[in-house]
Amino acid sequence: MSDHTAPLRNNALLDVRNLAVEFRIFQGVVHAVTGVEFDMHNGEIVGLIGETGCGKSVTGFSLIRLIRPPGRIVGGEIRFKGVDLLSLDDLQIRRIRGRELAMIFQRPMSSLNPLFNIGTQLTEVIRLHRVHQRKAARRLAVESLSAVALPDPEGILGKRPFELSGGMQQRVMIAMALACDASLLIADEPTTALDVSIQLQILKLIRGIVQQRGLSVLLISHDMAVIGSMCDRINVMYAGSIAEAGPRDRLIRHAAHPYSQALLKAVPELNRSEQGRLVAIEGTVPSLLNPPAGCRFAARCPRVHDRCLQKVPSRVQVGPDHFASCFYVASTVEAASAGHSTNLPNAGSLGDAAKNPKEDRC
Amino acid sequence: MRGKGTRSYVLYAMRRSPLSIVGITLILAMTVLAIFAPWIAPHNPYKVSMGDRLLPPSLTHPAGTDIVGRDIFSRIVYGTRLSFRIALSVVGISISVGVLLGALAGFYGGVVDLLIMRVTDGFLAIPSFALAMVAAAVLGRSLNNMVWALALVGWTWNARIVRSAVLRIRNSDFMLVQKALGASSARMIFLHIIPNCMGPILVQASLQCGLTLLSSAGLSFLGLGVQPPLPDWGLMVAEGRTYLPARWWLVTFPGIAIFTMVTGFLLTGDGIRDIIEREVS
Amino acid sequence: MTRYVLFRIAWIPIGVLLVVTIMFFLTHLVPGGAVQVALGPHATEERIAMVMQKYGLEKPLHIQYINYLGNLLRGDLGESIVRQKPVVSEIGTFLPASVELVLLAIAFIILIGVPLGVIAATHKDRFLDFISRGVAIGGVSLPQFWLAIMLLLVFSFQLRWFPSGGRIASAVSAPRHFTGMYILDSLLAGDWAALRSALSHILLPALTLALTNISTTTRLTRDGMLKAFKEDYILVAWAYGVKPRRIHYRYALKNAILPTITNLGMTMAYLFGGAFIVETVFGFPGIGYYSTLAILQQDYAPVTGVAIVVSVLYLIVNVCIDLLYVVIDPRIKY
Repeated sequence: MSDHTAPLRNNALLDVRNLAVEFRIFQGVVHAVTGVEFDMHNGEIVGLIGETGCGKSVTGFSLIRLIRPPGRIVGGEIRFKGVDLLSLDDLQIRRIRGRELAMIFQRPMSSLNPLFNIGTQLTEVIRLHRVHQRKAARRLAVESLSAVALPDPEGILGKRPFELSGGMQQRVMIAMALACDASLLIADEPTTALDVSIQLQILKLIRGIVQQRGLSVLLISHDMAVIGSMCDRINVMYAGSIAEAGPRDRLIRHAAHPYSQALLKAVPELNRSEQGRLVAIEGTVPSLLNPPAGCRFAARCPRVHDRCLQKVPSRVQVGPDHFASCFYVASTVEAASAGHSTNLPNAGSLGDAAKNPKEDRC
Repeated sequence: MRGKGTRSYVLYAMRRSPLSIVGITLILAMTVLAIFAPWIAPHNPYKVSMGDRLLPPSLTHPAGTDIVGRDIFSRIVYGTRLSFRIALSVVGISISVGVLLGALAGFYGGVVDLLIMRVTDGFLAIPSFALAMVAAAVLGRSLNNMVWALALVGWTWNARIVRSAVLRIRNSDFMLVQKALGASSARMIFLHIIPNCMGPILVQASLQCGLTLLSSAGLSFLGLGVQPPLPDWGLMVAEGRTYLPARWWLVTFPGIAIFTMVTGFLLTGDGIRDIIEREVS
Repeated sequence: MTRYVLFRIAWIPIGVLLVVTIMFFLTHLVPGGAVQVALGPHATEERIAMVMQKYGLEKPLHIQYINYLGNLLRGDLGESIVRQKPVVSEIGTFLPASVELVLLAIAFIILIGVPLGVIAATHKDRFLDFISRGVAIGGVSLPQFWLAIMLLLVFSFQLRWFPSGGRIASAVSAPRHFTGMYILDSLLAGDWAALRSALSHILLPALTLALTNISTTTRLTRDGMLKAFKEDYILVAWAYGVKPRRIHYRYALKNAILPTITNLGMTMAYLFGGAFIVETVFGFPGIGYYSTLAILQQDYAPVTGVAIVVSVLYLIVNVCIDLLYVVIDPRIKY
């Protein structure tokens, strides 16, 4: 994990602004993603966490413009190394896919074509993006397979996907990204379909690669344990928008947004000496077909107020590099800066429950 | 299932599959021609008129006349009746036999299934047209014999399809309940299983109507099926063949008629299949 | 796995037995009467009795059946009543032409039907999808004899591009006999005149056969491609910027092609059946032509003989395809 007390760098690797994605279906238009903003820097692992259907996968897919009809990216900017990816034409975006931004998916078992062997699939991609000669490409393939700690890389080249286990297949997918020398890896629920013991291995592998190569990773998951153990920064998504974003430790210890707090309370904690109650979040996610007028979490929020139902809250800074979109948070921040001694409530069951006024400076 | 829900859903499904609409329209048009033939056809299809032989298409004879002066257009219009009769008879017989055998095979399984399926496989291995030719020749050349010959060829497909549908349904929970309630085998077969197979059967019926028409036209073309002076389209092509290429209308219009009707049946069958598959997915 | 292979191969003789039994009962539905019809209304009682005795037609049915089977095992398919020649040798002369015709037709079906299916899949629910499917269905709906006649009319009579009958021009002599298939033989013998002539004679019939049978291939290819598109590995290919055309033809198609290939076995039976009409109209001397002429003369042995031969071929081809499946798709385990 990179040292998050270092001064923030100005030129981000990835800068997403105001991203909006729609899906046109029989009943109408689904606003899957609305006004999403976040950025990423070199060597950073950024997490995107939320429930199923909150739009985190759609966001991930949008980065390399994998959204296909009936879905459409309808607004925003995706600046990667300074270039807006949404402004590129098809040919340009194809060059970038894999070479600059690579993606691994949830089901490694079906990510590889069963009728071709691993070597063919790897070298194909390598020859497309890096070197043309077969021999050189093969060498690169072997290198990348060793980089993901696969035994007998040469032998694996000749194997068919079904001969490998799920964990090994996911390593191959990571190898594919490494072979193309991508700067940013989008990992969409990379361990969800794997056994728990394998999950740990894969996550460790990813962390190792980040440290060695300075690869940046956008880790998308619904699993707080995964996000919490891996990420430097966490973005919490709800119903298509980012509810809260901040450095890992801050967010976990001092989550500001009521949703984030509830999310953290809902995670079972195995190491705690005192077991609190698991609190489920009441209610259900609103339909994105006709999103409510105000804050989308309003219906389930314990801190809801009238204005929450009327307007969508804007981003408010809660701490260093820590933001939340919530009227309640905004009012608390105002109150604190006006001199009241209220502190941000401590949230979650992970980590220290002690208050620390110095860190709560706005 | 009755009610507005089903109807509007079917209409919606049909709108999504324009090809099926084309198919149904063609069949409806043909049906109209068949029913109202006496009013639509300008002339008597059997009336020989040696003075009017081999006339090209004109206002009085929109499709020209044939070698003995009969109006081709009228013959084509009356031919729709013949075609429907052939298609529906053949498909009727082959579906009845096929559904029965397929249901028995699927329901009882074991020896019955083995026996029936082996016989079916044997039939399927023989090229259908050859089989129909042999049967037609052996039984003698006539329309009725041709119908039996084609039915003999056609039942195998139905048996297969019904058997797989029956197998699917037989093992469902619904049938277990029925059995527990003490329903007799016959009751289960006729009241529950067969109605649930109607979807694939309907698709098969429609497709088979089209293919039967093609085969019957072919057999009649060769002289093994419908005999003169009936206005069968295949027969008309055969009769007019020797007068090519000058008298093109003798062959072109009957061919178009066959094409149109067969297309109608095939598109309808495809369309129904699309609708059923959509429902499944 | 070997069990499966043996099982499939063992099926062939059983299938053949079924086929010949069916043919037997079919042709013996009308005892004796067939002979009467064959010999015509003026045949004398003695002549009929003589023919019946010659072919053992007066014996009881089960004896005839046993004789029939015995003959078959000896390779005797009967004699043509009209020409008094053994059916087996006649089929031997005519069969290579039909095999050549069917093979060429299958080549056309793949070359036309598969791309149509790919186009339909890649333009799903749009204009080209409907056009492709429409063309495919239109092909099936055309009566073969009609299409044959039309093609002859346009290309043979009007444009004079292609000849209108036979396998090879009478002026050109047949190539040296290796397989009996003129195209192959002339290639092997380097006989270019024969090659050109044979090709020009076989083209229209093969095209007619093909065009009327592409709809299933197109539909299966389309369905297979659409199913492949939903798979994750296609998404991965997109994610790595692989060119769309490559994704369609190399990835999706290879996975989609399997059901299409299996279906080709069935298509082959259809083609042999369709060859009857096409060969007759084009005057192409294959087994279809042979048996159609025979049946019009009420000569049954040739037709049943041809039907049996074709059925056996069909059974063998299907078993081969099943075995090929195992090779192509390594996931299938027996």
